[in-house]
Amino acid sequence: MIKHLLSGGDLDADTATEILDTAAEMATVAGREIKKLPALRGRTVVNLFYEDSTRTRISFEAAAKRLSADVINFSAKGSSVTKGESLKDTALTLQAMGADAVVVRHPASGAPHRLANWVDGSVVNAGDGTHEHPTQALLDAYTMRSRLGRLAGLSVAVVGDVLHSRVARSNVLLLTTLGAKVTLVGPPTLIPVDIAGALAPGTDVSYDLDSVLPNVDVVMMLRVQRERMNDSYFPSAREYARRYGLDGPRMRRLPEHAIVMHPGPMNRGMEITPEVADSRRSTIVEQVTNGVSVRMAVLYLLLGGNNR
Amino acid sequence: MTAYLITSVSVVGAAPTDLLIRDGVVAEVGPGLSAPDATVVDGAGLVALPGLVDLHTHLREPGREDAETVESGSRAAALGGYTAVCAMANTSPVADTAGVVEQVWRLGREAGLVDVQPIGAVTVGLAGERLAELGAMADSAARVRIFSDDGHCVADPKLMRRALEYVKAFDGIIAQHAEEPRLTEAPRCTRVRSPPGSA
Repeated sequence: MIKHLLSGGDLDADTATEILDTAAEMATVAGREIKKLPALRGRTVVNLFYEDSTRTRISFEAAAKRLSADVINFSAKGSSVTKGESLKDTALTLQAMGADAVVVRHPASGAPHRLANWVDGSVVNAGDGTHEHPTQALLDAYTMRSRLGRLAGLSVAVVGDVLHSRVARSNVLLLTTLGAKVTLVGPPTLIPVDIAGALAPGTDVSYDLDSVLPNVDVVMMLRVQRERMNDSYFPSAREYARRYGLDGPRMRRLPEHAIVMHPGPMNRGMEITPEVADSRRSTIVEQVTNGVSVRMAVLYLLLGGNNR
Repeated sequence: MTAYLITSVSVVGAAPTDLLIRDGVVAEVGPGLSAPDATVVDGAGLVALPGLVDLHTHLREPGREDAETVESGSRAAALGGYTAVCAMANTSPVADTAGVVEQVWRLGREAGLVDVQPIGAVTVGLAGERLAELGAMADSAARVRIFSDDGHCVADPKLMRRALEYVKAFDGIIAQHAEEPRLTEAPRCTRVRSPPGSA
């Protein structure tokens, strides 16, 4: 097993599959009266969050607590970071307190990679800048596998602000490893020109959502921040929704079995309409549930829970 | 069925020859053609050209119908040998929405003299601040593919970059008036001459 989880590209197919299989076992815990395993009793997991996050932080916290680990939540606001402490000094402090795992979210791309050089414990990237969010990709892969029964050979469209999306990058890397084919869709302003070559050869790019929809098993809508409009990535929210939003008529062009995903939080009416978000194809709520199981599996495997 | 036989005409400047046109299509080219049903036009001393395309036309409609209309501009274009004109976006209101470009396109169809292809504005109101709904204009009945702020330069380099990238989705092009306004705003030394006889 690997020591850190920094990138969706760190995982080979066997390791990724082991995580997904372990997550499936962890999911059975959620159905019990007492949702707790003793696997990480006495181990310390630090949630080190330099960026606001609700669902990811809570998901990691729930995952660590269900494994009986001690959880310390560190948010940059109101901490010594506001007094000017560097990432390295904060890391060394946590190290001195005996953190077995550090779950880090940071606005700077690559911060978790730096952190991994400074601490002895395991580092889990919970989202760094516009770079990666590997546990999101794992929970997305888990959700696809449980809905559609497989990952190899699936055709997945990732739609929206790919340029700023760590979810998109980690998904391209992981899904390609697991044998799925990814097509990135969005306005050309929001898709880096070199992305397919830089991440995974074989990734397609399209600027035309309507032509892609009839041929996919999964369509993953990314959150589009309205602030992007002020930076002229697209002319207006209305035009964005018209060309790249998933509404009822577009959803009906999907194959019968196809599912609709969204990492949240959604902009209802922008990239996705309520009709789609609340439809039977939507896996949005399942994704949140699966996130806890997948993060339990990641912490369990990284901290050597399977060897003890 | 209409036919025209143009005799002794120089096709794009070549040696004089005859040109037979049936139903708007060049049917035959060569010396000594004959077609009893055709209207004969003496082309001696004249040059035959393919229909010209004007990429930068001001049809002024909507807004300045006193100066020009789509119909009058189409008529002038046809008389001058043009079969297609691209209508600039600096109308009033500006051609920065699907509604305006469709209106100009429909007026062109109604005039029926040349192909009138509206050009869409790159930015809202030609103001160079926010992208206009380029995709909506591209998807409209007018199927706009050329976008320009006419005599206004899209001077913000980032906005220009976004525009160039954005139109890739529908094979559009941006026609730029390449004049950086901050370089040309300084007043030149001018002198207004007084009329003769002024004291």
